[in-house]
Amino acid sequence: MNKDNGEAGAQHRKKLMLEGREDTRAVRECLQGKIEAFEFLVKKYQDPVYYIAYRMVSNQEEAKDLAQETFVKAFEKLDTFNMKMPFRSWLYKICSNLTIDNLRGRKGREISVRIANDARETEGGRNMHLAEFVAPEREIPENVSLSNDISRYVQEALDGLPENYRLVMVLHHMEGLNYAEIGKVLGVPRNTVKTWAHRARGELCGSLKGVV
Amino acid sequence: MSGNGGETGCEFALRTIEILGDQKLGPGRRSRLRRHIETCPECKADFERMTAVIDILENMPRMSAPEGFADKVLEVIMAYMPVGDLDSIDEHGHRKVWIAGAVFGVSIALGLAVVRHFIEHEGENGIDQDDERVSKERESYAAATSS
Ligand SMILES: [Zn+2]
Repeated sequence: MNKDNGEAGAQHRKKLMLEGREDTRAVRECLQGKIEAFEFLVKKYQDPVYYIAYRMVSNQEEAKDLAQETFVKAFEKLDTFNMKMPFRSWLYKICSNLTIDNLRGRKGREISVRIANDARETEGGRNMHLAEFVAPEREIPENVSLSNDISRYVQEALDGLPENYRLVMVLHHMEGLNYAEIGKVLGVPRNTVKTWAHRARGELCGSLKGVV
Repeated sequence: MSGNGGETGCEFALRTIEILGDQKLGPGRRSRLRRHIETCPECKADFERMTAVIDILENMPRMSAPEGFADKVLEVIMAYMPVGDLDSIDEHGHRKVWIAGAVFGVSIALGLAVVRHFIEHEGENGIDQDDERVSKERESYAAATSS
């Protein structure tokens, strides 16, 4: 979503600015005690937050929990929100941190299963592949066409990327954030995001050789 | 695959393919790439694969949050909030800010009254003390001059 250039880019920035003002007003109202202002923010961002979480963890139930946790955490920390920062970036930052923690927790579980598995193997138990134990269930959402095999392959290729690369792909190509905004979300310079994006796309092309 | 500015056509093509997902290519770069891939099947394959990957990424099926998601979030927030905070929300979802405002106003008024009383009292003491000091000085001056 190359919205940085030209007239489309200018219109996009204007839209974002207006939305940013709307969000800041809602945050102020929420801090003054209007719970419905927070409801407005939840309804506005529930789909992208859920979508980001889903594309990161590939599991509907976990994505739902992570999205819910994102909003609860945002509500708790609302008084620390910097009004100069876009609310969207701040919210996505919370969501990104939670999804990365979740994925790292998964890795921790994988390691503990591997240790248990190794122990079983040394005891002469059945030699079961690690993936049979721990591979997260990859669900295809009901509202997505199963005939779209390519998107499944791409999701699998995305799942094989390091978390930061995956996040850059999701935020840039699926959510339309530019590298500068992703830098704010991830707390890294814009050029780092750009490098990660190049590597991620390179890896995806490598993984999808023969598919696309 | 001829060189141009110290860079071979393939190097230029690879560098350009790498930035395809960053921004729209300028017309000069785009036409140079097109010219190159017409004669270089490897770069053409890389270009087509990258274009396809970007296209798929940008058109992955969108998904919505589950039904009733926002209500659930608000339910969790309401359940999570401390009892005091819950009590402070009226039937319209507004916290009873006026109560806090009234308490604050009364506190300020009381504080001001105390400060005012203290200043006035201190002022009176000050005058008394001054008068006392002056009269003592007068007495000592009179004693000194009379002797
Ligand atoms: Zn070439």
